Formats: sequence, C-alpha cells, structure tokens
Amino acid sequence: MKLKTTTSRLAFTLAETMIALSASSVLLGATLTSSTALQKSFNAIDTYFATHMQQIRIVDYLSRDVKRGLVVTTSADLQTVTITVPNYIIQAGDPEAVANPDLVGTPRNPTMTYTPSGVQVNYGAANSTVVYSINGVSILRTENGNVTTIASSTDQLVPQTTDVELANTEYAKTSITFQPIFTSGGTTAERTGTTVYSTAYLRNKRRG
Amino acid sequence: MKKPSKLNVRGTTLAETLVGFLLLATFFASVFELNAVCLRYIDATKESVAALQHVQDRAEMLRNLSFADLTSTSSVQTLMAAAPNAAPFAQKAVETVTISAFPTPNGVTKFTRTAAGTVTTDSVATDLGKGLVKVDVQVAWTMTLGGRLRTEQTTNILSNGSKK
Repeated sequence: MKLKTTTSRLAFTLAETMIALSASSVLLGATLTSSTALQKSFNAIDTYFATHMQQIRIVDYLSRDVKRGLVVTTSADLQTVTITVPNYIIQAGDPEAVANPDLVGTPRNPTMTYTPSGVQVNYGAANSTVVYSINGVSILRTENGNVTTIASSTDQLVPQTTDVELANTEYAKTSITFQPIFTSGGTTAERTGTTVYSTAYLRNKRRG
Repeated sequence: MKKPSKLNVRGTTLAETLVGFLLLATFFASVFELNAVCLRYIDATKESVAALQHVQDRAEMLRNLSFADLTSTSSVQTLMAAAPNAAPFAQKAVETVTISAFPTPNGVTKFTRTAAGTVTTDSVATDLGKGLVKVDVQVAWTMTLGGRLRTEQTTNILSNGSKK
C-alpha cells in the first residue's frame, strides 16, 4: 500500500506572523490613538467656543446694567457685583400703574430737581437692585429677588469686577476667565490666555 | 501519478501595501489639518472679540470725557497713551481715533496709536464746535489666521453736557 502524500499547503511562518502582528498592532494603535486625540481635541474646541460665548454674554449683561446704573459696588473678592438701577419702566404695583394700568411696561417720565451741583434727573423714589454672583458653576443675575442664570459652565468661569470711582461717575472693569479642558498641570498661564476684558461707565451721575 | 498542483495563494504586494499606507496617511493628515484649522479659527475668534472689546472700551473712555477735554488735542492724546484694557491684543493693534464736528465737520482731528503705544496727532480740526462731535474709533491688526489685515470700527455722536 502506498502512503497518501500530504498536500503541500503553504502557511505563514512564525516569523511572518510575528511581523504581521507587529505591523498591524502599530497601525491599530496609531489609528486608535489618533482618533481618540482628535475626538478630545474637537470636544475641547467645542467646549472652549461655548464657554467663550458665555464670557461675551456675561460682559453684555454686566455692561448693560452698569451703563444704566446709579452706583456699582463690588465685593472684596471681586466676584459679586451689586448695581442700583433706576426703575426706568413702570411696573405693576407702581403708583402710576395703580392709577392707570395701561402704563405698565411703558417708560417712566423722569423728574428733575435742582441741586447745588446742578440738575439731577430722577426716575421715581424706588430703585431696583441687581446682583451678579457666582453659584457653583453658574453666574447668576438677581434683580429684586428674581434669579436668572446668565452663564453656566463646568470650565470654572470666573468674572472679576473692579469698580473705580471718579469725581462724579464710576466705571467697572471686568475680566472673565475660565479653565480650558486641556491643561498642563492647571498652570495659571492657560487660564490667563482665556481672559476677556471689558470696561463700562455709568451713564448717570454716581449716587452713593 | 499526478503531481499535486501548488496552491495559488497570493499575498499583497509591496506596492499595494505602500498605496494603502499612503491613503491612510493622507486621511489622517487631512483630519489633523482640519483640527488645526479649527484651532486657528478659535484663535481668530478670540482676536475679533478682543478687537471688539478694545473699540468699545476706548469709546467708553472717550464718551466719559468732559466736552472740553474731548475737543482738546492734548487731553485725547494723553488718554490714548494708555491701552483701553489689559488685553494683550493692544500690543498688536494700531488704533485710530477721529473726531469731527457734527453734523457739519470743519476739519478732522485724528490720532494714531501704534502697537508699541506711541500716540501721534495726524491732523487737528479747524473747529470741533460746542455741541456735538462725531467720534470714530478704529482698530486694525494683522490676523493670525492667514495674515490678513482686519479692522473693527465704531462711531459715536457725543454731546456737550454732563451726567445727570
């Protein structure tokens, strides 16, 4: 009897397999690392831009209130700003609104008084108080007890405002920073690079 | 007896492998470049916002001057020596302030502040009047993205008077 010969089938040698395995590992590693890095980078860009927009929103809100305010006071840590704003608009419950409900939401006619330093324009005896403060990851604007969240970010948004009094006026200098997602040990320089600056002067004469 | 035929097993050639690598490298290069462009756009946005704040802050400083100081060449020149805010953007921007009587100008007072902080008076108006002036604030800078020249500008009409 003749023994059956084995079919001559070719397979990879161990060396070939090892080389192929090494090459594919390097390729797969590079692909995974690259895609992860890119996803992180895109996420960081997205978050950075979103937080940047929130910085601009805070500046807009704060500048508007400072410009129409009568007096601006900042706390010692520069993170809470209190602004006294005249009641330019007639609101429900105001004497004018009680006398004529149609006047709600309309501009109040100012009165002028003569003082030793000149004419003074007044919009009623009562004023509104607007407070900007930080609560956790949110920046809050509170007007007469009504709270509005004007910005919220996990990137540690920190607005700092300084009020500077001049002879008859006052201005508020604000800088807003945040900590980007990508950091190298959380160094200060990276937070500093995100700073947005703003300056706003009172349009009224400072009272207080 | 028939000799068993050799199996026709073919692998990828070196050329095919290299083309594959080239395609993969091109794909990754494109994606990384896209990422880099996104980062540069962020930087350009930051510059634009800084320019906007620069112009607004300067306008705020000018509108807070008394009318006598606003129409005084030396007062405005002194004011402009200081950057409107602490942003590093001021170190790369050229700022121009133009003041003229409104609505009918009688000459133009123009100041230029260089990136180094030097202020020059380019021209002085014949008369800025006693009531209203038009104040133009312009800032120009070379954009990091593409090296293009960009400008941001605002105009205010300011009246003689004091805060009430």
